[in-house]
Order: sequence, then structure tokens, then C-alpha cells
Amino acid sequence: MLELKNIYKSYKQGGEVIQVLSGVNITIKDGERVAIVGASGSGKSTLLSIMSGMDKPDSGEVFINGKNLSTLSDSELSRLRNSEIAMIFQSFELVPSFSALENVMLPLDIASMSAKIEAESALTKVGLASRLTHLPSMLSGGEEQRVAIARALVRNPKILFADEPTGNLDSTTGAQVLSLIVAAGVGDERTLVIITHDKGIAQKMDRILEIKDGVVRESPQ
Amino acid sequence: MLLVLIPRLLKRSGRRLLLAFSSLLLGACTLAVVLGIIGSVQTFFLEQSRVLMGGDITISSNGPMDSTHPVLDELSTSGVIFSERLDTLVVARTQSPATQGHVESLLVSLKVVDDNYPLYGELLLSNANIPEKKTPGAREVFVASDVLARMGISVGDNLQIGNSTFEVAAVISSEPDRVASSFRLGPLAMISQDGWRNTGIDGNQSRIEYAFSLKFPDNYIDSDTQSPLQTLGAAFPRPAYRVSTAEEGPGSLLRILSSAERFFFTMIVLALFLVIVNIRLNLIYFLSSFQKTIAIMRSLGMRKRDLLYLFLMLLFFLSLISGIFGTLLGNLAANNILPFAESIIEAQLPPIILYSNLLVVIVFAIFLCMFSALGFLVRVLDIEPKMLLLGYGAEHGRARQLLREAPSLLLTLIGLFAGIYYLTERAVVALTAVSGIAATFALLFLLSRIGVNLGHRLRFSLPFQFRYILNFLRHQGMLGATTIASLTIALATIFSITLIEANMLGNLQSEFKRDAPNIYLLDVQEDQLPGVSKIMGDSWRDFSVVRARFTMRDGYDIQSNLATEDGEMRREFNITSGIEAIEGERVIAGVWHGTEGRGEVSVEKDYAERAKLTLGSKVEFVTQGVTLSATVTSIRSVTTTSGLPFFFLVFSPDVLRDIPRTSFGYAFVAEDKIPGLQNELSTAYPNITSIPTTQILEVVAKVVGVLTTAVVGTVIPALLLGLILILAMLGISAQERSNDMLVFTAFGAQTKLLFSLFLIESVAIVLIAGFFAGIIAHVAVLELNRIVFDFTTFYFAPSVAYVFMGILSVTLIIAFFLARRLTSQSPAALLGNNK
Repeated sequence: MLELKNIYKSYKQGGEVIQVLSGVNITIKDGERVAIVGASGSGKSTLLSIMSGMDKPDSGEVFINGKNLSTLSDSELSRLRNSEIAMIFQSFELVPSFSALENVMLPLDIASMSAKIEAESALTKVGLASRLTHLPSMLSGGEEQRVAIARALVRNPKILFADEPTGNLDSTTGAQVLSLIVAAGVGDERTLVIITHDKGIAQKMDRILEIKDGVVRESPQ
Repeated sequence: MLLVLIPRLLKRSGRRLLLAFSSLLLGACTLAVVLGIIGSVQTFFLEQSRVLMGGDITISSNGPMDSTHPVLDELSTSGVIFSERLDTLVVARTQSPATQGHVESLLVSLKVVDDNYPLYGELLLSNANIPEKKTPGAREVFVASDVLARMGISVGDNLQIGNSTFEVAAVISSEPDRVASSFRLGPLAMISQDGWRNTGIDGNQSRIEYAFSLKFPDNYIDSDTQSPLQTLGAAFPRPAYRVSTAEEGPGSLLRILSSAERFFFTMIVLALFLVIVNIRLNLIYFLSSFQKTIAIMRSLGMRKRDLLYLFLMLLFFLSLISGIFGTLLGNLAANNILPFAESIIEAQLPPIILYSNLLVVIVFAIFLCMFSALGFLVRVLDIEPKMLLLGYGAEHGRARQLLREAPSLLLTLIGLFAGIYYLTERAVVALTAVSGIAATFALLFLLSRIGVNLGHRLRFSLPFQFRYILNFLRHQGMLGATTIASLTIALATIFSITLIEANMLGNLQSEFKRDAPNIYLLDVQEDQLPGVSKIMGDSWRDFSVVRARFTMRDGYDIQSNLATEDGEMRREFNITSGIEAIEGERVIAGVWHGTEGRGEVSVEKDYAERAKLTLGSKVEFVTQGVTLSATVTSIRSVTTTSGLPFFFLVFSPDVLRDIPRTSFGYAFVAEDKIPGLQNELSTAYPNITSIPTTQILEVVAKVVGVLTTAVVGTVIPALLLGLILILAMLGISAQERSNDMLVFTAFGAQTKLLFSLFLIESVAIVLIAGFFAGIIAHVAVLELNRIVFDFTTFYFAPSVAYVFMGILSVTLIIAFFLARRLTSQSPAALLGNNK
């Protein structure tokens, strides 16, 4: 379960304080698929960064599976990122000097686990069995994002976050990628939180949370 | 419009140009220092040439000259003033027993002057018994303060020189023509021509330098000196005499200045190689942040030539500023180094104006920057708008990459060739050296590539950290390998200079000290040998010495064709004869003449090479008007640095039988017995010069100290540039890795893993580069010892390891701070709004 309690977050920009999140309270149950929507600059990415433990709120608490993120040490937070949660980025963020296989092996390498076979299997599941040794520069955008998906899923995380995963893709490729992401949550009790400004994508989720003026509201389907 | 973009570019990424600017600044500064000091010395000599030389024209010789020569008489009637001078080594003796810490007999450099001395400048005296004293009287001696200090005497006391007693009349504070005299082994003592005659020392000596200095009256204009110069040159021909003008300066000094110039310029060439490498690397680093901007500008219609113009302007401003500041800082530094140069030539040099050589340094900085930036500019022009769509990762093929680097690599090699040729004046040596450097670089480059590729193949059997490093290095391609090779060359330069210093010190001091006799005696007459032998004891060894000039080789006139011969052939050599081989020498070809040889000569190996002699060569030497003929029947190898005497030419006794000669010898005696021996010898045989080895070692130590200080000084720019290169490498590495590190953090990598990734790579590269650099440096200095310095022993230097540990420590510190910065970033930066 993912819980946000009374989250406040602001940024300083050119001497001005911008309040991005004001008293955000969210509870997401295990296995739920949630879309976070909002206009550009509304604070979607900020909310995602706080939810995933990548950033800290000014005040408030974040709980992932009962663990208060603000009380976790750096090691505990790292373990959480490695095994319980995973992220898919809008710009894919593959390591350019790693092959597709090595990019997918990365979370396992970090955990000092045996990696090659599991990584090959993950890539096969996303349809890239023939691209194992390709560098990111040799892959198309859709292929890169599929590698990123495989990397995110290789450790079987409980929560999957996706930051505009189809933002850099054409509609056809985007649809393919989205279906992979959505399918990732099915049957595994995996929670999915996806940032999107695409209403069509949002409609496919169990819940839609709309962020506006720093406040999050449940939006009707 | 384009120029407006420059401040915007600098505002955004000026920091990335800081290292390139620092390298260029350091290069400009180094050049300014060398130009400033050499310029100051040259200005000094130009302005003071007549004073330093002691006249407008000087005629010098190793033998007595005829002061009544008709040419000199004629000049004298035209108002030319003459001054006669003589320099030699003698032993001066006090008349009372020495007190504690002082010596009774002292080897001094004796200068004999006449009443016209000095023709230019002023001889400054202190503590003169008569204030108006200008030159010593017939029974007077002026001395350097060192003579008083070492002998424990004062003005008014007496000194015995030869058969005559002199009163110390004054202390010499400043000698205007100091540099006109050659290298001095002892402190200065000055007497008159009458005083010299009274000593009874003159005679068949060979170590006296005679000189006439001429001063032309004011109504002579400068161009007129050409006519008397030619007349004097004909009357006093080479090689027996040397006629030189004040502008030419005294021979040994010009040679020393020329050698110093060459040495420093060669060190500059090595340092500039590192500047070029640094600038190249840093510009590529700079470009990495600008690729997208350039692609956007191109997509908006900027032409390639506009782009080129923009970056040329940027580089021009960079070089201009570094040239200006480099000049100012360099001249400031040079003024601080001037006292060191002043201590060598014993004169006050004019200070260097802060803007001296400004134009030269600026032009040089611009040239160096543009030259180094060739590869960068080619890369800039390769950026196309399509990369905005297709990405920048698609590298050009290897051929294109090589083509990019080729111009600057080629020009670098040409520059190195020019620098080394300037030093050695031998094209073959320069070509060999440059080929060696290029081959070494290529080998290192290949080894890097092969090593990385091999490691890459085996990467799955390695821990994650090594796998990541190998992937990264392989991904960098040629740039990575070039950087490692450049770092290796940089470290090799630093290590080589350190090793050269150690080998200079070791070979010039230690060996000499170990094997050298304690005392040498010069100018022992034949009839004095039995007496001297009795005084010196059982270890006494003597050798007859005759000074002769090499005139013919197999019927070929050497002296008429000196232009085609080795420069040494113009001078006289000390030759000897004997039936037994000299201790420490070895016959390596032919047969030693022994007791049976007639008309034979044994030649030292290196001399044989220089004089183009082989077994069977027929040689003729001339001494005191007599021609000596012999055939080369053996060739010897000698140890030149042991301190034991050696001769280039040893004749069979029959050749020199009828030639008047003196003897030279040495002995091994206890150090504390030397003062007593000197006293006994100078009393019994005033003409004999005794030289304690300690006195030679003092001078050698001083010279070596000067040389090593100069050598160490030249390592500073190389060391700083090497550190800048490491800083640039680590900075680029950190910048290129920053995104990877964020991704690793997002997937749970802990801080210590990230640290280890960065630190392992940094240390591994420096360790590997250091290992190969150490091998290269040792091989290079081994060859330098053999070919250039003629040193027989190679000295390993612990200082190389210390320098390397210092560099490694600095690397670790820089890597640590960069890693800390890398690991402190939040992976939230990967998300949309934070980009």
C-alpha cells in the first residue's frame, strides 16, 4: 500500500517561492492502477518523485508498505528502490554504454544477484530477444522504452511508477508500450502509478487523480 | 550577431573552458618565463658587452703573444689602447702558520693585469690600504674576500706566490670583466705584470690564458671595427688565436648561454606537448555540452562557416586573454627567478618589464590554441541538424575519426621535431626522437584499445564495477584510448626529468668522489720529479704532458678543413707517452705498443670516432713547432667520470722523447695531510700547482647544484600540466557519468557502490598509465645517459615513486570530491520537471 499524508512541497525560483503541493493526502491499495493527470507544470512529476522516495516533502509523510520513508536510512531506501519499487522514465534513461541486456541486468547487479538469465527472460517478455547486445543508440524509441520496462520489472517490484512513459513515442508505439505497462500489473498484485496528460491512457486506469493548484482530487472516470 | 553569442556561450559553460584556459595560461606563462630570463641575460650582455668582454676587441690564446706585433703597433698609433691580461691557477701561501679552520696554502685563480686595466667598467675595491688604488703595484696583490676568509689573513698581510712575496693591498668587491675569464677553480687573486715576472712562475706552462684587450677611441665609429677586426684576424689567425668583438662575447659564455637556451626550449617543447593534449581534451569536454545547441543553431539556418567563425573567435579571445595574463604572470615569475641566474653569472641583471615579449607570447598562445583545437573544430563542423532527430551517439567510422585527429597529431609531431632539432642541430637525432615518441604513443594507444576490448569480452566474469568501467571506456572509443596514452606520455615526461636529475647528481658527484685521488699536481718539471715523488709518497703517479694540435690524418690537412671536422679538432690536446697502460683503461681494438712500439699511438674510443681515426690511421700533431708522426695501433676505452686521469692519445715513448714537457700527476693521501703537502710543495717548488680534489668537488657540487635546480625547475610546468590533465579527465568522466549515477541510484545503488565505481576507475587509469610511464622513462633516460650525457652508471631514483605517489594522492582526492558531488544528486533530476 502507498500512503501520502498531508504532503507539502514548494520550490524557490528566482527568489519566489512556488507552492507545488499543498496538503496532499493519497492512499493507493495494493494492485490498484492509478493515473495522475494535470496540466503541464501542475506538479505531477513532483508528486511522483515524492511518492517514489526520490525526493522529500517539506512536510508530511510517505508510507510504502507500512514503511515511513522519512525514517529510512540511505541503505534502507536504496533497498526499497532496488526491490520493491521501480521507475520507468519518459526519456527512457538507459545507460548509453550498456547493451540492452546489461541495462536490464542493472538492478540485479546492484543487488549482487545473478543477472544474465533473468535479464534475458525479461527482454524476451517484452519482445526484444533479438536485441540483447544492442546499445541504446542502436534501438528505436519504442525499443528503448521496452528495455526500460524490462529493467523495471526484472526484480518483480510491488509498485511500478511510470513518468509519461509514452511521452516521447508516437501513438502506435506508445499504445504498444502502454499495453506492456498495463499488462505488467495484471495478475501480480502490482500497484501501478502512471503520470500522464493523455486522457485516453488515464481512462484505462482504475482511478484517476487530478492535481490542480497543488491539491489532488479524485477525478471521475 | 555571432559575436553576441560568445558571452552567452561563455556564461552557460565558461566553467568548462576553465581547464583549457588554465593549460594555455600555463604554457604562455612558461614561455614568458624563459623568454624573459634569456632576454634579460642577452640585454645585459648587449649593454655591458664591452665591460664584460674587457674591451672592444679581444685577442686570446693559450700561448704567449707578441705585444710588439706590427699590427698592434699601428693600431696604437691610431689611439687604440691596449691592456694585457693573463689568467692561470697558482698556489698562494701565507707566511705564518695557519690558525684553526684556515689553510696555509690555497689554490687561487690568478689574474695578471697591467696599468690600463680595466678598459671599461670599474674594478671595485674595498679595504684598500690606499683609497685611490686602482691596480696592484709590483709587490701588491688584490684578493677576493674568500681568500682572506680561508687563509685567515687580512689586508696588510703577505702572500707568497711563486718566488715573490706580495702584500694584500685590497679586497676585490666587483670585477668588471669577470665573464671574460674562463671557469675558475679557485678564488680570485690579482697582481701586476711586474709582479708576475717576479714570481718566476712563467715558462713552459700550458694552462695560462693570454689576452690582449683593445679599446678604440671615441672618434672611431662602430663600422670601423670591421677593418681592424679583419686585420687582426689575419695577424692572429685561428686556431692558435681567437679574435672576438664585444658583441660576440667570450666563447665559453656564449656556448653556455646557447646550451642553456636550447635546454630550456626543449623543456618547453615537452611542456607544450602536454598543453596541446590538455586543450584538446578540454575542448572536447566543452563540446559535449554544446552539441545540441550547435545542432539547433544549424537547424535554424546557421552556416558551417558561421559556426567556424564563432568558435574561432571564442578561441581567439581565450588565447588572447591567456597570452596577456601568461605574459604578466610569467614575467613576474621570471623576476623572482632572476636572482638564481644572477648567482650563476655573478652579475646584476636588468629586471624584466611586466609586458616584455607580450606580442610574441600572445601570438604563440593563439597559434598553440588554434593548433590544439583543430580536431575540435572538425568535430564542430561534423554536427548536423539531423542529430536532433537521430541522436549524437552514432559515431563516424574509424577512418573519419582518424582523419579528425590527423592534422593536430601531425602538427604536434612537426613541432616536436623542430624543438628537438633546435636542441641538437642534428636532423637524424630529431627524427629518431620524434619517431620514438610517435611510436610510443601509437603503441600505448593500441595497448589501451586492446586491453579495453579484451576486458570487454571478459566482462561478464568480472564484478559489476569493472564491467561498468570497461563498458564506459570502450564506449568512449578513440577518445578514451588517446586520453590514456596522453596521460602516460605526460607522466613519462615528469618521471624522465626526475630521473635525469638523479642521474646527473649521481654520475657527476658520487663516482668522482669514490675513485678520485685526493690531490693533483700540475706543471711538474722533469728535474723536479724525484723530489716531488719523495714528498707525495708511494701512491704518486705521474704522466708527461705535451700540448699539441692535430694537423694531419692520412695526409689530409685537418686544420685547413676544420669546417668538415668535429669542433674539438681546432683546439690543442694534452698528449702523453708511456709503455704501460693507464690504470682503469682497457684496449678494445688493436695491440698496445708497450716497450717495443715505435712511432705508434693509442687512441681513446670516443676521440677516435670524433677524429675519424681507425687502426692503421697515420696521424700528425704539431707542438712547439715540431711535427710528431705516429700510426694508430690500438683503441682504448676509458672511464671519464672516475676522477682518475685519462688521455685521448698515448704515444710510444720514442715519439715524444725530444720534446720539452712538464708532468702531471696524482696521489692518494690522507685528507688531513694535504695542507702540509701543499705547503711543502709550494715552498720547494713554487711553479707547481697543487689541486686538492675537495676544491674541485666544491666547484662540481656548485655546478651540479645549479644544473639540478634548473632541471627541477623545468619539471614544474610539466607536473602542473599533468595534474590539469588528470583533473580534466576526472571532470569529463564525472560529467559523463552523472546521468548513469542517477539511474543507478534510482534502481537502488548505495553511495558506496557509486563511490567505488568512480574511484576504482580513476585510480586504475593512473596506476596503469604510471606503470607504462615508468618503463618509458627509465628506457629513455638510459639512452640519454649513453648517447647525450656519456654517463656510465644508471641511477634509479626513489623520487620517481614519491612523485607518482603524490600524483596518485592528488587523483584520489579529486576523485573523492567529484564522487561526493555525483552521489549527492537526487535521482529526482531524472524526472520531467527537474530536467
